[in-house]
Amino acid sequence: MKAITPEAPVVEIRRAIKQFRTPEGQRIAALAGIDLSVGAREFVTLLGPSGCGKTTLLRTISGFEALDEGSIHIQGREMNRIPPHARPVNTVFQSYALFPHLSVGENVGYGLSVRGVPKRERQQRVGEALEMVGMNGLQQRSPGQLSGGQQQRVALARAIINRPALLLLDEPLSALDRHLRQTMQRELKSLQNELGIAFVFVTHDQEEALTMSDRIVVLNGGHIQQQGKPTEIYDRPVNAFVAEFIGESNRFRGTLEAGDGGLGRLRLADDEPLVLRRPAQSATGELQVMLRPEQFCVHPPCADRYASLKGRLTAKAFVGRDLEIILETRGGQPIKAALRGHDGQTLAGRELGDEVALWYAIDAPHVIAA
Amino acid sequence: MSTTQLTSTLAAGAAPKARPHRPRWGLIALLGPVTAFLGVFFFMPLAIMAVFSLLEPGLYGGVVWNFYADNFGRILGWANGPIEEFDPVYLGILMRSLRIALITAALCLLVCYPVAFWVSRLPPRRRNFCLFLITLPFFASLIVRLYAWVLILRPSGALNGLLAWLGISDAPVGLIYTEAAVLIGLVYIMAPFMFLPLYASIEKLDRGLIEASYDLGAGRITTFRRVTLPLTLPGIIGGSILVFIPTLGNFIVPSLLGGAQVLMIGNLIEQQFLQARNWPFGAALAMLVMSVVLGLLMLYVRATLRRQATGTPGKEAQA
Repeated sequence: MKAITPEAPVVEIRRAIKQFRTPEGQRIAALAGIDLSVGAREFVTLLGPSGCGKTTLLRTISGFEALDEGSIHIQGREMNRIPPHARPVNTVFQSYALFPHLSVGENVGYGLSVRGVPKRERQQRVGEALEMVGMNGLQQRSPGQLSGGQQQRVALARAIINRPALLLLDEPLSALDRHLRQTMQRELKSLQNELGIAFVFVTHDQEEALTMSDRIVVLNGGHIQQQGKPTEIYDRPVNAFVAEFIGESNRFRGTLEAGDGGLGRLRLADDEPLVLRRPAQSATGELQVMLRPEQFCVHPPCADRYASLKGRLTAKAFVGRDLEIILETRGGQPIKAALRGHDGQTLAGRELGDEVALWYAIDAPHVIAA
Repeated sequence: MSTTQLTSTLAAGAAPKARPHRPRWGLIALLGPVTAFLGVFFFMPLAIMAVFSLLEPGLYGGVVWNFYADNFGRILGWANGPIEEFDPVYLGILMRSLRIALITAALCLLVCYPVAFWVSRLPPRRRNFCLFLITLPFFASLIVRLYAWVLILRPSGALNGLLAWLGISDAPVGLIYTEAAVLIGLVYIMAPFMFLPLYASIEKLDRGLIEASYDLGAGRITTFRRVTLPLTLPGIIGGSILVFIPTLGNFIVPSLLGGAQVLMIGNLIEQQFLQARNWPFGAALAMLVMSVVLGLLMLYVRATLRRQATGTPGKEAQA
């Protein structure tokens, strides 16, 4: 993996293994040998379906789960046996976990008060923390009187007041409505810049991961599937799971044959071969190739660097900016495409069942598995 | 009955709501029978007791319809007539009863709190089984269960046998007819009444809040003191009231396990009614106990209202 930050990592996890026992006595690997490091000012997102180990990984950093094997260092100090309250990290919980018997001000000041910070300094810092999340002046309210978004902000203020080296966020936006979620995404990102600390963010929402992260770590079955910048993950998924989990994809499985002029032909089982530029690693034989729905068009700018796929139009839906269609090839493979502008208008006029050609740039198909 | 109603309204923090001005026949039909029942079988006897406590005792039982302050005077100190004399022993018994009730409530709390915590963290099926076990004693008669304790605690009983067998003592230890025996019996009988309200509030406690407290830098003790305890306080208070009040008036446990050595106010009242046949004096003692209990409850209500007035939120934890 590439070193993304030159600074010393704030968290260093090596060979982390954690197993859980189900009530039936089976052992399930939540973490199956994870290596991960987080840079000092990095926004890292742990992304994966539920049960992939992302929350367990987060809880081993905060100290609520102990590792079976492996080590975890925070700021260079080994943390395996350090209890949660002695770790320089704070968490924003999915349910916010605001103390219902304390006011907003007391909630935010809790971390300072248990550390014995004098009252005057505490009040000042509570004001500052609430100011950062746009909630100053609501100190006297009780958490029950706040809306979901406001509770979210209070939970954030409470977590940053101890000035942690690292902030852990466990699906904090999942309970908010879509509009508020997008606002909070922007605010979280700018808050992270302002604080200059690392965020480790857990989500199962790929859009959230793509918009906010410096680096996305895709997890499944206790393993890291791929990690990298959002564009890397989206454009060059290393395996079928990542391709499927992030965004939509059309996958073609076949045998690659060399053609002329650096071109290759992917021979498919029942369809016409798929033309593509041969990958640099000059792989041949059985492999899988991915095309994103938005990589198709109807009117190619030039014919010589584009290739086409033909099929019958089986579904179309206008979803706002795009026209989403499904094409079925002669061999029966459905192909999802999202068409925009003139392309969309062209196909909107066609009837279901019509024969349609979709074009793609020959260097667009991405090889995901050899 | 009235005290549990009072505590449940307190616990719910019910605020008076504006009601529409129309007769609610359904409500009247539902509440009518219960009101009539309580009116006849609770308030009437209570009123009779209140009146009797201020009447002169008849020479051979019964009452003479004269206002008579010396029933209370015998207890509180202004009776110095030829027949009725102030005797501090009655106040002494009241104080002892208050102390025993207080210690019983505290011991029940001490025993039940950790157990309630443990049970609330069990998987559902085992949790329900534990709750069933806790209500199991109610299936057997109270008297039978107390005689079992007599068999355990008496000089030739099971406990002394065990102590002798272990070689800890060679002569029987005097366990029965002590205050300790009374406390053991009371805690044994009252523990379920502490456990159930305690369990209800502990089970509702969001584990995430405890984690949040650790996460913010509080250790175990601080977390317990500042999060767990305040959030389970309704259960602690509810359970304590449910244990304290019946314990204060209990006379079966002290008469079986305390004998003549550990007299509680309940025994004294029972004696006055059934043996001395001095109903007015018994009624005066009963009124005194009731006013002490009401006084303590009033203090609690005022403390709760003050807490609400200062704006400390007392809402339940949201999921």
